[in-house]
Amino acid sequence: MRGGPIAFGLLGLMFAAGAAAQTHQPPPGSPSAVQKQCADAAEVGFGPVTLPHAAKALRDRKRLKVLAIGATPLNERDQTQGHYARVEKVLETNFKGVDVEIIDRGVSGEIARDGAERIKTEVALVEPDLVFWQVGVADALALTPAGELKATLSRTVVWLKEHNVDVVLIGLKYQRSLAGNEGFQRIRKVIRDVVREHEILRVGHYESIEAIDRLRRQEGETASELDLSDAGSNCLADFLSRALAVGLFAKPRGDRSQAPAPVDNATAPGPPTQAPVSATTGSPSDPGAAAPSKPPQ
Amino acid sequence: MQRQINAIDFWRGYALIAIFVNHIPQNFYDQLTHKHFSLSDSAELFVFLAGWSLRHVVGPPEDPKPTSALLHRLLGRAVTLYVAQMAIALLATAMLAAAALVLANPLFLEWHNAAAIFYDPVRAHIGVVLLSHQLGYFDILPLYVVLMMIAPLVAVIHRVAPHALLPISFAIYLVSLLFGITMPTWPVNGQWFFNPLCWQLIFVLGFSMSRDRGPGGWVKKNIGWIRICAAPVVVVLSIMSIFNLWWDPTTVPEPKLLFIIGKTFVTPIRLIQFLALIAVMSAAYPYIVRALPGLVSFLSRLGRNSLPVFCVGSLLSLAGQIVRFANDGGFVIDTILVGTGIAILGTVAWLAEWRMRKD
Repeated sequence: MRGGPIAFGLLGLMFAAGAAAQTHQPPPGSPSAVQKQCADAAEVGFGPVTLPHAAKALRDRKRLKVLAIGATPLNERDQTQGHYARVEKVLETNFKGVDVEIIDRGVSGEIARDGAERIKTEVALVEPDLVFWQVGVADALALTPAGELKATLSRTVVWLKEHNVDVVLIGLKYQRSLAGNEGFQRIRKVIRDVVREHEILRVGHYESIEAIDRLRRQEGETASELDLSDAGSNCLADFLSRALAVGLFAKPRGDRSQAPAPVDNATAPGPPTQAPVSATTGSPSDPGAAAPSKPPQ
Repeated sequence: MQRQINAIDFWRGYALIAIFVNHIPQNFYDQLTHKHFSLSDSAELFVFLAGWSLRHVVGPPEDPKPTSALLHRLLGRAVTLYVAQMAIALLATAMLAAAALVLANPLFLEWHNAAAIFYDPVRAHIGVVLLSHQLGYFDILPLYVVLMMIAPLVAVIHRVAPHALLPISFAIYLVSLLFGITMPTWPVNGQWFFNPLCWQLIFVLGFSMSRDRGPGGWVKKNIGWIRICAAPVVVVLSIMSIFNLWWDPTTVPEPKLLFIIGKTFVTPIRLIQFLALIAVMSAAYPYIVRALPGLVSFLSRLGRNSLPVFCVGSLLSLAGQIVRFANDGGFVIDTILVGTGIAILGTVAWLAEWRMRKD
């Protein structure tokens, strides 16, 4: 089992990080407090979704090439590196001896229709094993019809699968002011539907930030929209890294007996950064997918 | 003195309107612009005509302007463009910030590559000034600045060795394609949306085609035959565009950039389609003048005042996107936005000429 050492390494790091989390209570406002909040906010919904091509690349070449399309996320608190640099770092820390290269070809503001055309060209040029596609924000703001977006996403996901490239969709961010916005929620639903229909990974960014908002309220904090946006951005690199870790080691559908035990985020430790898991298939077991978002109280 | 109405200003005016409309994605009128029937879009036309307009600065071969005056004027133009880019980038940033506050929607702070400016201002402001950080849809002018900065070199090479200009430009384009060389962005890790190393060829082609000697003279002499050859290219590639009949880009041989379709590198197939399209469409101008003189006059005025019109158009596009989102879009809103926008652009051009007349 060539992936064995890597899997053990990952599990070891997860447990080590978990143990550290149990013995150390970070002061509020510190980076580790933020990370803990990310972890607490995470919602779990792993389906039998795998990243077979990415896993094969790791096994065979010890190298993972990722193409990032869509708006480039930015890590507000750590300004010396973007999210993708941080994801690379986390993955390379977790998977010893593995080289992860994320090539960022994001064009912020690009709607899915234009991004879908560019993905094909970029896949031809970059030859990635995996695509991170941050999608939805530009379409929500440009009022792209839901049907058009769904057709675009489905067509592109099928094309990527046909070309032996895995894809992880990074959906919309939670915005309290848009929780009741029909157009915004329509776009969100389209992304979830595509994820469910094509059995691909989605980083449940929205649900996680929504959970952060809920947690903060429970603790009597009133977070502004900007605070939430900031918190969500800080968690995204961790979400992505954890989603990848799970997608890489999950067993395909029909082989669940041998799949690693599902990780319950509320109890299981995360990777070294206490990263939460928010990768979902959009399946009914996904709380974020099943439950409609509640508007602010 | 104001230029007479001419095809170049007319087409440039058309390009300015098309860019304005295209930069409000998903609006109803976007689908009526030629980018939906063509591989190339208004960006190529705008850059080509910018190169063509260089002839007005360089002057005719029989009466060339002194080299020092030429360089002074071209560099001055580059500085003007740079200042314009800084101004519209600042205004666009303020518009996004205002939209985020007024509509209580922080997504605007991350839209169009603005996130770095708001969340990483120390590095992003340096990037904006260095043109290595560009807002989405505000990335044509930085290309134009670079092209205008190399314009003195273009003019000097043309003066010293006119036959070498196109081969040098083509060689730079080819090397960029062969090795995938481009301009990086910073602080956001990426690349320029318009790779200047490739887009310079369109600029130089525009300049070369404007001349009555050399390649430009040859094209003018043989334009009839060129149009006959170009028409099927335009028709076939349009059909392929409309019905998405393109080959799979992953199956093309190396070097892939020679065979795939891409805007950033303005790849050969896109370049060929653009050249064929302008060869064919240039035949239409005399008919358009006769049929629609008012329209030609209006668009020519926009074309004659391309910089202020482009700058205002870029800001109006962004305003249009924000207003459209705030009002849930729709045909009526789109019509009001596009109609008002074009009227404002016309007013800007009129004001620019009125001011010139007064001075």
